[in-house]
Amino acid sequence: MEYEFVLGLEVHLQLNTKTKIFCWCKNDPFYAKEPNINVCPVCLGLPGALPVLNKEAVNKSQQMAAALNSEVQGKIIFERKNYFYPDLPKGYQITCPHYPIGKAGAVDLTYFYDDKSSEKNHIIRLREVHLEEDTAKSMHKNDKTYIDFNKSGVPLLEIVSEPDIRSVDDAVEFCKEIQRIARTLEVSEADMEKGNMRLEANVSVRVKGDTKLPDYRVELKNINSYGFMKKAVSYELRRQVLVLENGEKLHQETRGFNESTGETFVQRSKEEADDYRYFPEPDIPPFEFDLGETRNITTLLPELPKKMRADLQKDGLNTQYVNILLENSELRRKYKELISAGYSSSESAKCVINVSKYKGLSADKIINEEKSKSSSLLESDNDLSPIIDAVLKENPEAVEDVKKGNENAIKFLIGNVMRRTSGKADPRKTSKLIRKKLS
Amino acid sequence: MDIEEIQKKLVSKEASCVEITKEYLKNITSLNEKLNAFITVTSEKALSEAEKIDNEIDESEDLDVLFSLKPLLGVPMAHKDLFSTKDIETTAGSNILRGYIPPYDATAVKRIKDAGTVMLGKLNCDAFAHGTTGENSDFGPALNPYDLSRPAGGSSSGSGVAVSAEMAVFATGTDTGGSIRTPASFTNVCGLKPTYGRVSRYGIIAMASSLDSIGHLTRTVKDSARVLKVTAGYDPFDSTSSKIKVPDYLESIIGVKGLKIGVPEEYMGDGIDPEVKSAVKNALKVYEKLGAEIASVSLPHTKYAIAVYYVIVPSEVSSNLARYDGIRFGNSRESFGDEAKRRIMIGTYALSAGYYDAYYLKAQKVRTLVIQDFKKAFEKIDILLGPAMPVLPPKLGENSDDPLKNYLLDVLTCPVNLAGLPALSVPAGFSKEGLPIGIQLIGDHFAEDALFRAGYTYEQETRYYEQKPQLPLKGEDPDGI
Repeated sequence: MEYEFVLGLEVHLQLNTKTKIFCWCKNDPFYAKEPNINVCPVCLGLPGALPVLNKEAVNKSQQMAAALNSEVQGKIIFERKNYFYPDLPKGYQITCPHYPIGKAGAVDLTYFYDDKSSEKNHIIRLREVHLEEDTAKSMHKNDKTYIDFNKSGVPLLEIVSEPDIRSVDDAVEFCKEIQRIARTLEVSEADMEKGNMRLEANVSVRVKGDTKLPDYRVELKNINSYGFMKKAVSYELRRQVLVLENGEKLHQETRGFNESTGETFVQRSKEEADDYRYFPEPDIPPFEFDLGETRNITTLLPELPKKMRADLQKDGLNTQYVNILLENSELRRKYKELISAGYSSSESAKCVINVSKYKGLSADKIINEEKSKSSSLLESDNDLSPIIDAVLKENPEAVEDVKKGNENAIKFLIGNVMRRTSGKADPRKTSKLIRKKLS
Repeated sequence: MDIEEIQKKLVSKEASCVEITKEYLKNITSLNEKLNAFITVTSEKALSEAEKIDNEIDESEDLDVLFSLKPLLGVPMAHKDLFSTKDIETTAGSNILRGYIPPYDATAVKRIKDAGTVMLGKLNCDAFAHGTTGENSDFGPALNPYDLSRPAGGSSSGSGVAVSAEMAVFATGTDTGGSIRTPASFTNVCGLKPTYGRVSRYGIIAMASSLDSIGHLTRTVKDSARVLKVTAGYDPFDSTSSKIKVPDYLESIIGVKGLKIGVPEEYMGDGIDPEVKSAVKNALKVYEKLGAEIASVSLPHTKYAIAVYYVIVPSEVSSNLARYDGIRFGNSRESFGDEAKRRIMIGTYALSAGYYDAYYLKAQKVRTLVIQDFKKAFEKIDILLGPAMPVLPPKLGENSDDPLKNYLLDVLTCPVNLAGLPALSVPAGFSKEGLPIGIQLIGDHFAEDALFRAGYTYEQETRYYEQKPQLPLKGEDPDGI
C-alpha cells in the first residue's frame, strides 16, 4: 500500500524586540555577558510581580501574522498555561492560543516548485499565530542544574500549521519561507543554530488517497536544525508505515530523536499528557484593536519574499540565482543597485553571485569577495571624469532629458560609461558624478 | 491619634517624630506578645527614619510646602506582610515564605514611604490572605483586643489589631472577599476596600488576581481618605490599575442631605445576628435624621456569590501559588498550611479539562449576574448600606473543624469583590458583650468620595471610633506577661 505524510509544524520565533515581553529588561539572551543579568522581579517570577505587555512585541507579531496571510485579530486575550518546570518560575506560561494574534493564514510554497505540472499541493494552511513568553534556560553541569533567566520572558511567536504538509521537502521549505519572511520584516533573526527559531513536528501517516485525518499524532520536540528535522521526520515516516504494515495501531505520544542512532524514541505517552488548566490571565486585560488598525498592518508591510521572487523571475534569472538572492538581503540590495546603475539583470546577478567562482561559499564570503573586487573598479574622480565628459558631449539629447528629470536618461548615460570602461566604472560613483556635472 | 493630631504635634514641636515613634514602639512592646499583631518589628529602621524626618522638619523653610509634598509625613504605620518591602522579610503569613527578603518595594509601599511615613514593621495575616478570622496564619492568630478569646478577623488581622490597639496610626491591608472589612468591623476601626484597579497591586503577594484590592485600615474616615489619596492612581507596573484621576477626597467630605442609601434586603435576612441587624437599623436612623433618603433594594443573586467566589478564588490561587514550588524560596511545599492546600486542590480540580466549563466558566457567568445586580441598584441609589459581617467575632477555634462555616462568613463582603466595587467599613457600635460591630457602605466604581462623605458624616455623628480597647485587655491573664 502507498502511504502519505500527514505533517503539521509548530515554528517558534524569538522576536527581536528591545525589551522582554512583560517587563523592561533587555531582550538579549545570546550576547549577555553573564547569566542572570537581564532580570527583574517580573521575569524572575518573584511574589507580587505583574506582567505588563510590550506593545512592540504585539506589533511585530501582527506584522508577521499579516505577512503569513493570517487574519489579524481584533481581540487578544492572554491566558495562563499551568505546568511545572524548573525554567518556568511562575509555574505557568502566559500565552494566547485561544484568542491569538492571527487566525488561519497560509504559506504558499507553490512558487518554489518550477515544475508546475506537478499535481502536488504546496499550500500549507495555518491554524493560528500566537504570542507567548519564552522560558529560562536550564544548564546541566557536574550533576547540578543551573538556570539562566536572561531568556525568561523573551517574546516568542508560535506559528502553528494545519497538518497539510505531505513531504519532507515541503516541511523544510515551509520553515525556510517563515525564516525569510521574519528576516524581511526584521522581526526575528530566525536563526536555528542560536535557538531563536525552534521547531516541533506532529507526524502521522495515512494510506494515500484517504481524506480523513489519522486518529493519532506523534510529536517530535526540540528540533534544532533542518538536517535534524529531515532525519527525524523521515525516520518517523518509515517507522509508522512499518507499524501499520504489521497491522498494529499507532498511538498519540511525544518522541525524541537520538542523533547518534538516527532513531526516535518514546518520551511520553498520551496517558501522561499534561492538563494545562488554561484560564484567562487576570493580570493582563484583553487587548482590542479596531478594524482600521488591523487593516493598516497589512497595507504597511514591506515587499515580501513571494513578490521578490516573482520580480527576480521576471528579470529572467534562473532558479539558482533567484534562490540565492532571495536568501540574502545584502546581495539583493547590491543586485538592485547594479540594475538601477544600468547593468542588465544577468550581468548584475553574475556580478554579485559569480557562481563559478563562489560556488560553495557562504553569502557573507561572497559579499566580502565582491567588496574586494569592487575596489578594482574605476572609482576615482580623476579616472572617471574625462570619460563621463566625453559621454555627455556625445549625447546632448540625453543630457537635456536628464535636466528635465528623466531618470531613464541617467541610466542610459551610465550604460554608455560602462561600455566605454568595459564595465569597470563604479556605477554608483558614475551616477553621482553625472548628476553633479549636470546640476 | 489620627494623622491630623500627629502632624499638629510635629508642626507645633509639641512632640518630635522620634518621640511619637517611640510611643508606638512602646505600645508594640507591651501589647504584641498578647495580641500577635506584628510578625516583624523594625524598630531601628523606624527610629532612624523618624530622626531623618525630625531633621527634615527642623531644616524646612516652609512646612506647608513640606507637608503638601509629603502628606503623611511623620506618621507611624505598618504593612500587612503580603506587601513586598525591600530588604525586609515578607512572609505572607506563611511558613513557605519564611525568610524571604524581597529585592523590591511594592508600588503602594513606595508611595506610602515617599509620602513621609515611618514604617514600624510587618503585620500578621492569614497565610496568603486565605481566611476570614485570621486563624490561618502560620504565625498563630492575631487576637481581638476587645476579647482575647476571639480572633481579630482576617485576613488582614494584624492590621485591624495594630490600629485598634494603637500600635500603628494606620495599616495597609488587602481585600479579596472581605479581608479588610472583616478585621475592621471586628476591631472597631475603619477599613477601606477601594475599587478594583484604584490602587496598584504591583509587589503585593497575590491571592486571587481578579479580585485583590489594595486598601488600608485607619482609626478615622478622614485618615482613610488621606491614605487613599497617596496610594491611588495609575501604575505602569500594573496593567489593571486605572488611569482615572484621583480626586481630593477631603474637599467635600461632609453632608448626606439627599443622599440615596439603598439597603439590600438580602443583607438583612436570616442568618444575620440580631445585634448586627439592630446596629444597621440604628445607623439607618442616624442617616435619616441627617437627611439621607433610605430605600430598600434587591440584589437577587447574592445567594450565589459565595459559590461563585469559592470557585474563582481557588482557581486563581492554584495558579498563583504554583511559584512556591519548593525550589526557590528555601522551604519545601510541605510547609503549605491546610487552607492553602485545600484551595490548590479545589482550584486545580475546577480548572481541569472536562470540569472547566462546569465550574470556572459557569462561575464567571454567574459573576456577571452579580455585577448586573449592583449596576441595576446604582441606577436608583447612590450607595448601599448593610452589615459588614453577618456575625459578631466568633470564639477562637469555633469553626476550625468546618472550613465551610468560615467560607459562609464572607456572604456579605465577597459580592463586592466579584463586582470590583469600593466599600468602606465603619464602626457602628458594640454588642451587649462589648464586641465591635461594623457597617459597610458600598459605592459604584470609583465612587470612594461618596463613601468617605457618608462614612465621615456618620462617624462624626456617632463617634464610636473614639472608644478604644480597655487595658488590661479582656481575657488577659492578670498574672501574665
